[in-house]
Amino acid sequence: MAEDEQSRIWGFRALYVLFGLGVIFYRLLPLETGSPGLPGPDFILCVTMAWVLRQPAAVPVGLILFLMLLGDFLLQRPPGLWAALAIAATEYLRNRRAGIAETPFLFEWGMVAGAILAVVLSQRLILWVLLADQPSLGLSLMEGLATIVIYPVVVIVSKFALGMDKLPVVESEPGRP
Amino acid sequence: MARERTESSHIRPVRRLLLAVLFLCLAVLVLIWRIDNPRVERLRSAITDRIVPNLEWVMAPVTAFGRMVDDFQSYTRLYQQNEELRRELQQMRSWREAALQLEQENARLLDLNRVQLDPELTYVTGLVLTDSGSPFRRSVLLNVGARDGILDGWATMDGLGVVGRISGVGENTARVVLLTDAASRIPVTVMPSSQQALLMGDNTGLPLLEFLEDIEDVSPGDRIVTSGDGGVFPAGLLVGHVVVDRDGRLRARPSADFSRLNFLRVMRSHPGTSLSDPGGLIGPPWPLVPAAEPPAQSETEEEDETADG
Repeated sequence: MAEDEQSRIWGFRALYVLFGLGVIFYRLLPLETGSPGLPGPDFILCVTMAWVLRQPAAVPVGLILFLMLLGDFLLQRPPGLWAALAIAATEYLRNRRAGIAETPFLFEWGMVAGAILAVVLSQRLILWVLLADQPSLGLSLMEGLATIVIYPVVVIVSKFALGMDKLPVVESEPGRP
Repeated sequence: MARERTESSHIRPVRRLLLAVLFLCLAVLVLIWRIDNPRVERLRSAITDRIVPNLEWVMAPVTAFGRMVDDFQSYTRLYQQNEELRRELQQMRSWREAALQLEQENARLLDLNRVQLDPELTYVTGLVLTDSGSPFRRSVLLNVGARDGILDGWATMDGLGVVGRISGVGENTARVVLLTDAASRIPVTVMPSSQQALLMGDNTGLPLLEFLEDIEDVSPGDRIVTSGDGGVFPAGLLVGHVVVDRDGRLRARPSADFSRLNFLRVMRSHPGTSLSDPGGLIGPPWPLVPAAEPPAQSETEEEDETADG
């Protein structure tokens, strides 16, 4: 049984990395060089948050760090900033998973929305303090909102297509005081 | 899960410590990026340079497929497009006649005057590998780099108009910041009135035209060319046309087709020569040379010329 679980976890990890690399790769494709459309959702952040609340072992900090930092460098973001904020947000969710796991989905969605907005806004705040160039408030808020809107879809896909259920709290965190 | 059950009380503090160290490292990275920007940007272009050319074999087919899908979507509007193209072709024929006549006349006049309008510009053509990947940045990555002699700051055009400037050169790749990027500032001239202005990208398709002296002299449809001020760009490259947006502000519609950036030309520009010594232009050199010397002087001049040639 434990062996099965282990291989499942490793499967999820591989899937996570492949998915992240695929998203970065897709965004690099020179398909829409001209038309500045609306910014789409940040799929990597969304999937990371959904999985942290379901199978925390599938998204260890190292993998998140790898994907986010690679994204920072390749996608022209300030290197390290988005990675640090995303890890902070996912760690926050990871530590509060026990509380979230038993509540209905809407509550979980609210928590995640708060975390995403906190990431977006604190990124703006830090860039403002550092006097760095930053995109307009509307665009970055729109990216955050798109990520929030797409979250239930990600959850549904990972639940029904990948069979990723919420872990019961008792089993996963026995050492919790 | 077995794994998680083991990491309980004694792993937790270690994990917390490691996280703190991680955050510290990332914060330091951000600070270094802010303090010593060129170095980190070089690191970034080195990483891009290492990763992206290796992906070319996947990217090329996927990009080609994406463009084919785009083209296929346009089949639905085939009839309308055909009509439009016919109309445009009709107009173009008359324009072509006019252009040919003007070209001949221009060549004759230039020949009469022995004018050299522009310095000879040569170019390197590169293929677009990737775009910036971020909704907040407008840039593309070319497959030519320091290996091909590309330098920072050179102008980049597609067949028709200016696209942007080189900013960031790796060994095999170079990044072009497009005119539409929010960080792009280019000195331009609005043509019939020859007013100087600054073309400021603002992340929309139509960059803003700012710092015009006399807005009344500029009307929609005027041509915009680079002015060459500050030695940033070679002068006289076509940028686009003036349009007025809904708020009444003047903007530029770029001539380059930004939605289909495929092959780009990087214009080799040479730093303009500056006149440093003030003398020698007005009158003969002082003190006046004796009458015997002039032949010797003309000899040295000839030597200089042969040395230059």
